[in-house]
Amino acid sequence: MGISGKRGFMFTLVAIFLIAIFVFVLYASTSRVFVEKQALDAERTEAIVVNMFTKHLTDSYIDTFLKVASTNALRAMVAYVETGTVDDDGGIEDPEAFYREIIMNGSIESTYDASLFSRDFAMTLTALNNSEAVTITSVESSGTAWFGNTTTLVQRVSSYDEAYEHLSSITLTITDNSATSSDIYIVVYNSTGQIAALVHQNFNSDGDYTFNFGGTLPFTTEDYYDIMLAAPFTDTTSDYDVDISSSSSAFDCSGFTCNMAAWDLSGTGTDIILPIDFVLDEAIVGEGFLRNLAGELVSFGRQEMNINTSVEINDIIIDEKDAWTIGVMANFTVSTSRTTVSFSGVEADGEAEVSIIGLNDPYNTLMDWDVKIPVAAQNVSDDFDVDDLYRHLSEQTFVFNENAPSFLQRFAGEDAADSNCCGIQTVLSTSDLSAYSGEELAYSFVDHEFMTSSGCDKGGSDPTYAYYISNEPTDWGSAYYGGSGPYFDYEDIEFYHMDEIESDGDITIGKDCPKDSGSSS
Amino acid sequence: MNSKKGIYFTIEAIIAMMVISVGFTILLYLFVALSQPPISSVQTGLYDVVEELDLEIRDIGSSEDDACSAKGELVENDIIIDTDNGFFTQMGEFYYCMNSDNCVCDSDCESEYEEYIGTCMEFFISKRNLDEKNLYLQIEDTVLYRSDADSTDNVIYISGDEDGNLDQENATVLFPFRIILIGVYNGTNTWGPYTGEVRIWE
Repeated sequence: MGISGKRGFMFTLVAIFLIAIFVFVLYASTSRVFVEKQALDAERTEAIVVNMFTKHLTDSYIDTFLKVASTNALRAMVAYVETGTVDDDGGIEDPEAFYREIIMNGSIESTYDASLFSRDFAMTLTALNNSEAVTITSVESSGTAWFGNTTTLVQRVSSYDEAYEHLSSITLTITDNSATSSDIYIVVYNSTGQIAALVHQNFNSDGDYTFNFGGTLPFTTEDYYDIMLAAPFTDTTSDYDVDISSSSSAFDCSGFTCNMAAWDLSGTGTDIILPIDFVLDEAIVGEGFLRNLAGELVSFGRQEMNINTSVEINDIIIDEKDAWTIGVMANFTVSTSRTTVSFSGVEADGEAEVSIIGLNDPYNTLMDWDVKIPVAAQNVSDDFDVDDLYRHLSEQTFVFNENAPSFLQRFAGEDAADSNCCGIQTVLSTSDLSAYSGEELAYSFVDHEFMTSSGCDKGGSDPTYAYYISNEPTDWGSAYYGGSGPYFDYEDIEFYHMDEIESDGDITIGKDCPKDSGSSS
Repeated sequence: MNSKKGIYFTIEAIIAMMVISVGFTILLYLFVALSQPPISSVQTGLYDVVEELDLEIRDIGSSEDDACSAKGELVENDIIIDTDNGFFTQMGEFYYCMNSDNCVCDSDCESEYEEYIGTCMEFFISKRNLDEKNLYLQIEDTVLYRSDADSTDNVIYISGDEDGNLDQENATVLFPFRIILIGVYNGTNTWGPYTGEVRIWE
């Protein structure tokens, strides 16, 4: 081979070498772009999922949770005043604050009146060692105790072995004694007296009932829980029998601390934070309020979407929209994160409206006449005629009146203030006031005025009267007109357009002071 | 003369290198472009569908012929009570009614409310033009809709185009999204929480 052939060969080799380098560089850079794009897609997916979850949370979940919590809370408040544990005269001192508290926590600061001392009860208590449930004690029963509205059973427990990380469950043997409600509860209080868990079950038949805490209660040797077994308040003194260990022998927990709780259960009761569920006829379940719902959301995010979520409830504002609707607004701070994507400090506002229609009016429940009148709304318009008036009286519908208390204010009982925007009132029937007689029946039958009115006085120098419908309108029942019928303060009946109805000749208005000893008008 | 040959070889090699590079680049581009799963479009599709499922009943359709719209038969007959409910939340409420005795129904709540779900799904899928999408909707263990379902599957609503859609099993990209469903029935009974799932694939 000549010099020129060698050179050509060399040039060719160099060219091939250059091509190889070029192709390699091109491939490497393209592959890198490809890998980066994949990583970018994955990150974008993360971002989209977290973004969708966060958007859903702020746009939808918060409103829904607020609606659920505020609806449950209002129902719970009505049920609470119907238990008779609220002071009739005063009612609830600050209904708005009370409502806010229930929306948030589903609990009230109240007195749990227990007349019998707590006893040890038969139970199987399990703890979690990692994910393995371990029975830490099991006690045979040898007697019974009952509980209902006046008795509860409380057990104090703490771990005796550091290996047990969480309280897992408790199993009790329960038999029906005279249950009026099938709801039974285990409430776990921590050592500072706060509710750490609430587990509800429906009683079906006699037997063992296991209440699971789901591995959410850290179990240590240095702290304790008080586990309380209870049922909703009822009028009976006992609902269920619970098998207990012999009172003469100590409850043996094989070395771990399980002394009886130091509750003051001597009969006078003690102020503690009570879950509102106790006062309900049917379970709302503890999860139905805002703090627990937020916890539910956090748990959902972690388990279903692998998203760490934090929901802080900053403020709850109650705003009565009109006579029939209560508006609830709340401000939240939300944070979400998953691997490389996070949203923090997202401010969100939730809004819900709760209707009062169909709920029993708390005012009439709280007052001495103690009647339960469900709220049925009736609007007073210019067309309000004699038939509408009859419906108002006979069906005890509620009408707007700015001098009357709003639905929420009516939880304050006798101290209920009037409400320009949202006052409602109904007229009490003669049967509602059957316990009253004499001069008291000279008061207006308008519900919010009955106890506060000074009554009429036809014998004085400046006589005042109560008014009634004196003639016999067609098709009216006799309970709604005549001398024994409902009496009104004239100012309160004026907005029913009584003047117009009277001028149409449909009714005639009379005035009198029934049961009053003064001279006749 | 020799150096001319060398230059010739070098130029030839460079030209060859350029031709090969262009060819390689085209091949690589085609490989990347064709083998790349359609992630972005599925992501966008999922986002859009979840947004649409959040639409409130009162904002979906305005015709009386649309059974599940604010003016539709179900609202008229108080089967849908709260038109502020999002569409998927309303399906959650129907699911609750299927499994509860607390809802208004004539005799068999389960079959009645299952029928309502079917009616609403048909309306929604058609109204929002979702029948072309590869979509799967489920609440707890009940499948409300599957675009790849056929008549042998246990699905509440099956769209008319049984064979036109890609099966989930053959999808290149599939994205699921889970939604927590909770609400209040008729202002009194709290229902849920249920887990709803939306899947989109291509």
